[in-house]
Amino acid sequence: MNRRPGNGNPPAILVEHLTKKFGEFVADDDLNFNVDQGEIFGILGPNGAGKSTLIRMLNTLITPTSGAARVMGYDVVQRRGSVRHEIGVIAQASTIDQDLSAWESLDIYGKFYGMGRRERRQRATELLEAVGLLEWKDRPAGTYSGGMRRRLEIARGLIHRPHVFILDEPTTGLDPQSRRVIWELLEGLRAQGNLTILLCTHYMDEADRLCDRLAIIDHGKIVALGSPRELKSSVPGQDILTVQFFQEVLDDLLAALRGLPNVQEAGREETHTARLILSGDVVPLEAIAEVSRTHGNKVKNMSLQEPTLEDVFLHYTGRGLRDTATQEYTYAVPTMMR
Amino acid sequence: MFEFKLSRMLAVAERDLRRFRRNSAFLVPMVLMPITYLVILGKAMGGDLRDLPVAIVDQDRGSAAVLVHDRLRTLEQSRELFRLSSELDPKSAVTRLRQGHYRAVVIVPPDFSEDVSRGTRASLGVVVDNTDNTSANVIEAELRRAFGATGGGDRIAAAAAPGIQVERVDVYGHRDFMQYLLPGVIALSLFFVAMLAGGIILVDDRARGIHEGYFVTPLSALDVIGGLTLSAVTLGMIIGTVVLGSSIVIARLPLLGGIRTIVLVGAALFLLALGLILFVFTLMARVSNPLMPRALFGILNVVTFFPSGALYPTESYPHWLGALSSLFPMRYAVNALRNLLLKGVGFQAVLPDFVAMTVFALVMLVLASFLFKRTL
Ligand SMILES: Nc1ncnc2c1ncn2[C@@H]1O[C@H](COP(=O)(O)OP(=O)(O)O)[C@@H](O)[C@H]1O
Ligand SMILES: [Mg+2]
Repeated sequence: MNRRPGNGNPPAILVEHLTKKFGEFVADDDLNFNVDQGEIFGILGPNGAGKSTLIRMLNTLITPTSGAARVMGYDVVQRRGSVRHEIGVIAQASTIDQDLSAWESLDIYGKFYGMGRRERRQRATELLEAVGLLEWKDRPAGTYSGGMRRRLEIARGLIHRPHVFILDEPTTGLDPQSRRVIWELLEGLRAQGNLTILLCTHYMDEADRLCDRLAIIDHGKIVALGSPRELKSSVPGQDILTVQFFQEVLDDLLAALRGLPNVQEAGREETHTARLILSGDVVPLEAIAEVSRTHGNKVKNMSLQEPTLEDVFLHYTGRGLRDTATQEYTYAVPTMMR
Repeated sequence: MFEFKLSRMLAVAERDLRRFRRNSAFLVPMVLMPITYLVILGKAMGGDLRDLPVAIVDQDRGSAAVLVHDRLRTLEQSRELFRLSSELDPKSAVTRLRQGHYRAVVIVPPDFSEDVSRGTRASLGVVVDNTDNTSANVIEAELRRAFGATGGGDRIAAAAAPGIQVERVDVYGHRDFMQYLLPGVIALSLFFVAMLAGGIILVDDRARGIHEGYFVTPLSALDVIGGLTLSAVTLGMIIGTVVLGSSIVIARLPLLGGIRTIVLVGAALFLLALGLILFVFTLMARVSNPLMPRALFGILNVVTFFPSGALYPTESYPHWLGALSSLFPMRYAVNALRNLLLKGVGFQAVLPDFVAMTVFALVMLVLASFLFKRTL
C-alpha cells in the first residue's frame, strides 16, 4: 500500500514490521513504510501515539523490540555508527546547551563529526545565516527565545550535511510567528533538494503544508498513509460548498442545482443560503451562476470547505485529533524539575 | 510590607509538604546523614591509638636496656599501642622514620645501663615524627608514664627504674595542626570538584537533554566518559593547585624536596582527582533525578573524607572503619600528600599509596564504562 515508484534511488528510510514494547505496553506496533530520498515525510498523530518512540528507534537512541529499519541503507541496530553520520536530529524536548553560544554549539558539534576547522567555520556561518541567528551567534543560547533555540537546533542538526533530517515536533510550544519561520526554513531545505526530512507532528496544518506524504499514526499503529491530497480525498463526504444568494432560495433552484454535474446533494441551510455537497475535483462555478440567473436569483458569496486532515483522522480513528488524551511521557525531565 | 494572610501562608506550606511527600525517598539521606556523622565521626576522631609503628635501637645491651625492652613489650601487648621493631643503627632508623615507616624511634644510648646502676641520670631518647603531633604526644606521654619520670606517674615503675629521663626529639621543625590538616584540605577540594563536575553537572546535563543530543551523533560511550573525565580532572587540578598554593602560604609550610615534591604532589592530585571523578561517574551512571547527587553529597563526604586520616591518625580507627577507609583513595592521598609536603619524602615512600590510587581509578573506569549507557 505504501510503495511509491520513487525516483530510482533506494529509499532514505525503510521501516519493516518495526515494533517497540515497554514491558507489556506496545508503543509502536508493526510499522511499515518507506521514505524516498528528497521527500518530506510526516508522522501525524496525537500525543502518546508512538511518534517519538519511532523517531528514537530511527535515530539509534533506543533499540526496537522487533522488526527492522534502515536509514540510507544502514540498519539502525547493526550499523548505528553509520546511521549517526547520516542523520541530523531535532529531539522533541530541547537539547540545546544554554551555556554555550550558537557559534560554540555548532563548532563543538562539528568536531563530534570530525569536521575540519575551516569547514566548520564556513558551514556554521552559512547555517546561522540561513536560520537568521548570525547576529546573535556569540550570545549564550540561554538568552534566546523559544523560536531562536529551535532554529539553532535546526542549524546544529545540519552542521555535518546529513542526508536525513529527523525532527520531532519542531514547532510544538512555539508562537505562530516562530512556527511560520520554521516552516519556511523547512520549505527552503526541501527546495534545495537531496535532503530527506522525517517530521513528526500533532499539528494537521503543519503536516498538510509541509509533507509530500504522511502516515497517520494512532495507538502505535499506522491507520492511513499517502499524500495529504490523497488522504483527504479518501474521506467520503467530499467538499462542501456554501452559496449565499441575494434572493431567497426556492425549491426549484435547489432542484436545478442538484442536477448539475459534480453536485451530489443540495439543501437549504438558511433562507438565502444553499449547501452543496460536491464530488470530483472540479467545482462547477459557471454552471451554478448560470442556473441562479435562469431562476431569477444571483450569487452573493460562495465558500468552499475542503475536508481537513482532522476529518481524515476522525474518519480513520473515530476520534478527533484534538480530543485524544494528552498524557505525555518525557524521558529527560524528572518530576522535580518540571 | 508586613501584610500576610494565614490561609495563603498555609497554602504555600501545603504545597511544599506535598512535594516532600511525593519525593519522600529524599528524606532518607536527611535522616541518614547525621547518623552517618555520628557513627563515622564518633569513631574517626579521638579514639585510642593502636599499632603505632615504633623502632627500638639498643646501643647499650645492658640489664637496664632489657628492662626498657620489657616495658615496651608490655605496652605493645597489653594496650596494643605499639608495633615494635628492632633497628641496629639509630641513623638508619631515623631515616626510615623520615620515610614514614615509624612514628617514633626509641634509642637506648651506650652507657644507659651503667648510668642507671650508678644512679645518675640516664637518658632514653625518643625521636618522634612530629608531623603527626597526636601520635607523637601519645607516644611521649606513654613512655614518660612507663619510665616514671613525670611527677605523680606510675610509682612502681618509678621505684624500679629511678632516674630514667625520657628525652623527646622532634625530627622536623615546628609543625602545627594547620599543617597537619593541609593534605586533607587538598583532598577535600578535589572531592568537591568530583561531586560538582562528576555528579551534579553530569546529572543536570542528562536532565537537560544534553546527552540526548550527544547520543545521536557519532560520539561513543568512551568518547563521552573520557571527555567528561578529562574536563573534570582538569578542573580538579586547577582548583587543587590553587587551594594547595594558598594553604601552603596560610599554613607557612616550608617546601621540602623542591621540584621532586612538586612533581609528586601533582601526580598525587591527578590520581586522586581521577579516582574520585570516576567513582562519582560510577555512582551517577544511571541517575536521572538531579536531586540525587545533591542528596548523596553529604553522606559521601562523611564516608570518604572523615575516615581518611585527614583529621586524626588512622591508627585510632576500629577495624571496620579502617577497612572502610582503605576502600577509598582519600586515605592514600592524604597519607602520600602528608609524607610529601610535611616530610619531603621521595617516590619510593609514596609508591604504595600511588599504586592503591591507580588501582582504584582503573576499577572505577571499568565500572563506569560498564554502567554508563550509550542509549536511553
Ligand atoms: N521509556 C519509556 N518507558 C515506558 N513507556 C514509554 C517510554 N517512552 C514512551 N512510552 C510510552 O509510549 C507511548 C508513546 O510515547 P511517545 O512515542 O513519546 O508518543 P508521542 O511522541 O507520539 O507523543 C506513550 O504512552 C508513552 O507513555
Ligand atoms: Mg513525542
